[in-house]
Amino acid sequence: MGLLSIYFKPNFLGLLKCLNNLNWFIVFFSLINLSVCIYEDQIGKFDWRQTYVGRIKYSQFDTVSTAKKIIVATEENVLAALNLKTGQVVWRHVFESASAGNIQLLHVSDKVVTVTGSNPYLVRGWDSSTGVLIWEWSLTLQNDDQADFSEWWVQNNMLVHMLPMFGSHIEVSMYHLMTGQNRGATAKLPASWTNDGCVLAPPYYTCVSGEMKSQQLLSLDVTSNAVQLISRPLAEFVDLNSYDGSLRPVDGNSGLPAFIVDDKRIVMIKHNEFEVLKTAVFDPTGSVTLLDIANGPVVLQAWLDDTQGFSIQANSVSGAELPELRMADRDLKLPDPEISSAVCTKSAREQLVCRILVTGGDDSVHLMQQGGRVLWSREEALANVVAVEFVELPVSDLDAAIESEFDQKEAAKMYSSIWAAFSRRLQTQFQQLQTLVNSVQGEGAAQHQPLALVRDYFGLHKLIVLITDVGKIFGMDNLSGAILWQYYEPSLDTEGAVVFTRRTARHPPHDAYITIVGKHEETGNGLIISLNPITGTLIGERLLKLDVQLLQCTILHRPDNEKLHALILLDKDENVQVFPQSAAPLVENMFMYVADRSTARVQGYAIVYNGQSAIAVRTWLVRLGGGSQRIVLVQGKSATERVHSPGRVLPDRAVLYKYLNPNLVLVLTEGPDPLHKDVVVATCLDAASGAIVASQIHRRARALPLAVHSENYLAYLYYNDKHRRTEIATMELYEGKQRWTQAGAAFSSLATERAPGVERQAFIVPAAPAAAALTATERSLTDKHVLLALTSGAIVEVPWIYLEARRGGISEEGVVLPAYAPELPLPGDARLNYNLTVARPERIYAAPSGLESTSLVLTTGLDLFYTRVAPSKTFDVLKDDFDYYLITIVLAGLILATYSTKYFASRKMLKLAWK
Amino acid sequence: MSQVKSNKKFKWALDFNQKTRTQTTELPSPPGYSQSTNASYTETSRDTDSNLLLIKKLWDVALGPLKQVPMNLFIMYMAGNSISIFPIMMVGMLIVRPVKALFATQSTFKMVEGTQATGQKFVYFIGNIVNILLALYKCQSMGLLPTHSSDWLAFEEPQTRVEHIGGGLSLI
Amino acid sequence: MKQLTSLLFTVCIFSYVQSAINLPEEDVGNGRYSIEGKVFPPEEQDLGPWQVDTRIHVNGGEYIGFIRDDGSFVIHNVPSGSYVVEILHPDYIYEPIRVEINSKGKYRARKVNYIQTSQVIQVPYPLRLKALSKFRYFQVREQWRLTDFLFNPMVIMMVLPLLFIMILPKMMNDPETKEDLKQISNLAKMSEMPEMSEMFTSLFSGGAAAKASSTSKAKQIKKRQ
Repeated sequence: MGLLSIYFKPNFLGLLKCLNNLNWFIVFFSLINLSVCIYEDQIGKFDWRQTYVGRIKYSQFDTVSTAKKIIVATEENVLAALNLKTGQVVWRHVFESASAGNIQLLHVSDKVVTVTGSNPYLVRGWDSSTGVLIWEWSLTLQNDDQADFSEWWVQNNMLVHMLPMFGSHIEVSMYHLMTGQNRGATAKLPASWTNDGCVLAPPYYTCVSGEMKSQQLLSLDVTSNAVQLISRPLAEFVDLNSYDGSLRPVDGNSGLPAFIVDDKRIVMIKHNEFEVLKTAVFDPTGSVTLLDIANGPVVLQAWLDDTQGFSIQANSVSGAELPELRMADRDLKLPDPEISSAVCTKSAREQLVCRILVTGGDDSVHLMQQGGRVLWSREEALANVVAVEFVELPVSDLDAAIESEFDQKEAAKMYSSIWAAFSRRLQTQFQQLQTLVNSVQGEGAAQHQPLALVRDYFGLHKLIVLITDVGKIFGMDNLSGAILWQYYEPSLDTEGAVVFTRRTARHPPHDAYITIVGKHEETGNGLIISLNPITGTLIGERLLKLDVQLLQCTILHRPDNEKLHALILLDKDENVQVFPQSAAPLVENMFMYVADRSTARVQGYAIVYNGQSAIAVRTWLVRLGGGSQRIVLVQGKSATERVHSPGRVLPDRAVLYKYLNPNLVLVLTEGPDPLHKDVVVATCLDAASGAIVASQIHRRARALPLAVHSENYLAYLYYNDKHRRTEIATMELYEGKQRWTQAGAAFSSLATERAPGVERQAFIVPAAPAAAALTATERSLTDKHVLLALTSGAIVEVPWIYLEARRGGISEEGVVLPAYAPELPLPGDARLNYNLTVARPERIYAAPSGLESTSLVLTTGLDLFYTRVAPSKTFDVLKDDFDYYLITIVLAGLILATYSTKYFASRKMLKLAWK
Repeated sequence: MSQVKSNKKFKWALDFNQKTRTQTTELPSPPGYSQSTNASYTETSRDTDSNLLLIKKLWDVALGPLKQVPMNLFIMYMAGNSISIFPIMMVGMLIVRPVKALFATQSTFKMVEGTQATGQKFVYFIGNIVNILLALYKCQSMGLLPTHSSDWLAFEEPQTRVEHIGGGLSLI
Repeated sequence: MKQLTSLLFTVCIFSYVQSAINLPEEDVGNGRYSIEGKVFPPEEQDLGPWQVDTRIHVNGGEYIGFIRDDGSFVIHNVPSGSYVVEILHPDYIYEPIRVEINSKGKYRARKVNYIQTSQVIQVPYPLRLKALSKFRYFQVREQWRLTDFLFNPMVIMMVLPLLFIMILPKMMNDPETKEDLKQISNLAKMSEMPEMSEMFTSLFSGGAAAKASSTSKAKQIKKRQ
């Protein structure tokens, strides 16, 4: 025993010393650990990704390989294989988004062949089951102007390229498919009858030429060695009086050469002769394709009937109908249907099994089976999202009933006495108790029910309204990504479309109200759509077509007595329209600005109510860049954001007051410069007074349309040409150590005469960003993180303290700012989307949720990715691996130990007292 | 023993009368005793002495807090300016003790009578106030007192805006 | 020898490119070159084929290349200039390379350094790229281990002294241990003290001190007995 004490003593001291050192390590690492990532078991709990391919340009059924697939080439320059049974993407290749990635040809035989580009062209061969590249060669045409009119097809393992020179000849070149070797020189076929209305039905090139009333239908097989021209007068096929000159090929990629004349008759070319099919075209706006079945060719037509809905009908060439392929679906309102491809096989029981891939005018893709069953659908319009709005859901009926009890007006109406109010209270409490008992009982069964469209406890369940380029509006549930409603407006041109939330769902019985302001497709006039975002129905102004072009629009800050914010429209002649009209007298203290992109002029207006109507008065005009520059981006602050504190506390306990101007707008312009190649100018403009608050110039740089602006700071990205890297520049605006106005006084842009102090800093971004946004929370208590979507498909979160101008040293009490380093760190654990890459991201949207620590983020582009971000970690919720069991066990153990010790100690005392 | 042998007839009788008279004159005085000092000691000086002692004691009590000041200064210096358990405990102690002493003034000066009572109470009071001021100074140097405007920053109302804006790039 | 082979290789590439284009006109006029290289997959492959998931982005997506079965890639129709070639795979990190093609058609590949843009650390061209490591996307959950609890400084500061207080008196009460401890302390005293004190006393006082120390020694010896 004695030896033990010797043994323990030095070891104990050593142990203490070691622990002391460890203690420092623990403290040190906890300060440095700025990691913001999630745990591996949280994957998929609150994030999802949806992959899209885009509007289908060419498609072909791949019947050769074992797994049945459809190979698709889209307008978004994507080559993908879709599973035949489910429609999911098996493999996908995304080409460049510029014209160098345009897909000119898709050919599927045993291998997939694509021709991409626009002079120079790249011919690639892919394996159809795995999608791996097999061969690739490049082709450059000498004549660049006419290159857009080239036509491509594959014939006998040769790639045929045809370039028509209208009015003179046709150049045909044939290349070996796999190696690109040319069998000979380019063949030049004389064809003076070609014009730009000609169509290609491989390998025949067909035109209508000649003078009016005596036109000829001419066709030539461009691949044959002998030049054989088929020529018939057009009068044989159509009535020349009503002919409007339209000649179009059949849709789908039928192997049979055929075309449609005048949208009425179908002409096939067989044995070097024109053959008019007895079946006529049912609907001029529909789609026609020819299928080659064992019995002979079949004409398949699809169109949208007014009464019967979407219809498909098949006829043989002799005119007899194939009844098993007929379908008419009244519910499926597919606008402008187009048959992308179709394949028919004979099943074992001699029955015709057909699969038809139909693309709609709203970019949706449906796979149909004979008899009319839709196997699957894809909404490819979501590959091109233009604007996004997060909408709060209304409270459940029970909660609304409870809250209405406290509403003064309603209470005064309904309850005249105290006893009535008391009984009402008892009722609501009883209802609450009932729901509690039900929820406890039905906990197992509740999982089958879909999430009702009500607000959840933390406010994380929201509805996302997405406006897509093709004019389709979707309402999507943010927790699951499921589409709740859709609305298609074909005449909506969404370039520059804006969404306004005119009324949230917080004011029952009034519905939530959002308005989308866009343009009319044909006239360019304003088009306004107002709908209820929870249900997707049109309300209020509904679909309103204006008769003037719009300059800009905004909403009024004051709601009217129905809690609706009025919509103010400024049109081309500087007249103001206010919707609803009754809200015009509420207009006051409203200012608007309109920036002209090409001349970099910003014009400011004051919107005033002159007793009868609202008018726009020109107030200020700023010409940025002296006329030679153009505006790249105009970024204002979010209208709903709040600022948490009016100043920053310095280490010596003085306050550096922030310059919080809610009317500040960042304008990024770029232009050529005589001395330096390109110049980027960032200007902070006060949009109410027109004052230029701060500006910064970057030489030999190209502007990127990415900027974030919030509170008193902003950051924007540009490409530095001199050093060939992307940089991010930040500006922070401060009033100084003394305030300019009294605490709590209202900020007025027109009354400020001083310019704030600016702190600037720039950093290098070691990646190519495609989108930028700032996280947003309800009260702005949490830190703000800059979210950057990189072209590599990653979404990276950069804490604002890495971008601060005053880096190094201690900022507010205790927070150690990292020292200045010129390059921003983008580590792997700062990626929000771990290994789910988002192809071609375009924009990031961040919205606040009910929790102060959490912000909801949606990335759009070719793919949609949604996740939740907690910039300061979730400080207001218990962490999800909170070990309840350990704590209860320890607590119970300690209580037990306390009581037992008390008992034993009292016994021992008693025993000692008796000694 | 010898006296008992001479008086054999009276075996058990002892006679003290003759001897005590002669011996009283022969008894020496105890060492250090002088007969002159006995007379000068009067009774009245006992009262004043006790009074003076009391007052002196009370003065000690009254000056007690002031004597604590140097030690408090030293404790403050050693405790340091960081915010952790030891300095906070020290500061807490520095504040609570004088405050408690102030409240207990009545009971400490319970037995006082006399003219200097108010003066003593005043000095005691001042001493405790000085201690409290020292503790407050310590709080100030630790940064606990809300003297700067940065401390009232969180209570300010958010700034409202007068003008509202809208607009952007031209939609044409 | 190596330079010769690389030169031969570039010549072969050129001729290949030219033959692929097979048109009578020259294409060097507007300087269209191709970047090529080979990508090596990571050692452990969980699911294949990795070639489909790997893409090559030049200058952030300006030109996109794809990998063939054996891992080689060619990016055609690239004009002269400076390009950052990145290999993108969702799970593995590849280092980006800067490829510069000057107007005469000479290729140079070097490591990307955004801070010192003129630094040249050359990398062999045609590119040979290996995966650096797997991406670390996730934090590791904190596990509760008994050692965390036992080695917590507060626990040790409070619990161990408690144990000592309870155990030591019991140890002390044992007569054998008492004697052992006394022996040890005597040993310690004897080993340390006499040397120092003896030295000093002998230095200053001479023989008397030696006698005193011997008597103290005798006393101690007596104590032991």
